[in-house]
Amino acid sequence: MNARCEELARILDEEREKLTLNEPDDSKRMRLGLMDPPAGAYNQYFTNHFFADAEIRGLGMNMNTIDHCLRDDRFTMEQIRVIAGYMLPFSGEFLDYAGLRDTWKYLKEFIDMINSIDEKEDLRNVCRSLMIYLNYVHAWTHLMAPWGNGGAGYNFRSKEENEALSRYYLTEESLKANYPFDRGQKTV
Amino acid sequence: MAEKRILIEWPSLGAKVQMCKTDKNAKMFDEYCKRLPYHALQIHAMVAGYQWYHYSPCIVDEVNDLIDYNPRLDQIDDGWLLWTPLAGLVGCAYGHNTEYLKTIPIAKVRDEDLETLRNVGKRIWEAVMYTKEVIEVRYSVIEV
Repeated sequence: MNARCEELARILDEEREKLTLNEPDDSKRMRLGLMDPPAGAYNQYFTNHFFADAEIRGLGMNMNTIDHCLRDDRFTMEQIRVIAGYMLPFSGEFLDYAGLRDTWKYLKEFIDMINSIDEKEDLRNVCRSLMIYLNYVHAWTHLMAPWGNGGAGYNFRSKEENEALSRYYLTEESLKANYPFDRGQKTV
Repeated sequence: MAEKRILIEWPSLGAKVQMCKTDKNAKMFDEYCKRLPYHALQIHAMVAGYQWYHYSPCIVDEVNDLIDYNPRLDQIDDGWLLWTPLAGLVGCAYGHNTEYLKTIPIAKVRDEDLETLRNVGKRIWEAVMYTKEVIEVRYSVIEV
């Protein structure tokens, strides 16, 4: 048993219990646009939330892969180092920029452990604790994501609405009138 | 002999339902019950359909010998509790889902609780989509 790994696992379990029903600072920072530097092109951060929410969801899945590899005898520690190197740092650094500072702080420490500890067994508990922690942070970014700002504009159309649109766009004149740029009628 | 059931509660909504063991994935039901109680932040699927879910600490290393029912999500009845044991995801199909990936149903809602389940599902959808209401979900095992 590795004391450093067990200590981080303990911290992650405690932090996860705290944030289960209390929004973590990472989520608040992103939801309120308090990232430094201000992540989000053209003076808005709506897009940042969508990207970060998807990224941390995927990061949890990637941690799940590392969790499997640590418990699977077919993978050596050296192989897991390579896999982890491909899967984890990019997501973690992006999430740091996107506002999820604690997420990267803990992930970075885990990556350092992966690179410096030779016994797979030592890393199993902390890996799983980190995976569950990341999933619970994702629950918050998922809840707070601005889904409703866009969702209402993407309702599926009824059969009747689709048929009416088909009839309307049946003529080239309608298409030219509505999509002049796409159809070479105007130049920017 | 007492029957073991899973009790799911949403205290802030004043709602609860009971999930029953069936002859499908009965070993998975027992494995899951060993890991209760716990609580979590309730969220909702944004793509699959009428399904709420949440993350949990309930993770199993090896499940091949435990699963005997692994249908497509778009082909199951309403009211199944779903568990992805290698990742700790727990969901519930309270209406139709269009996603056709395989799923692992482990318990079925009592008939008399199906309407509650649907009402809770709609409320969770509104929370995630619009209101951002924080909804806690609690799981425990009861014997009836």
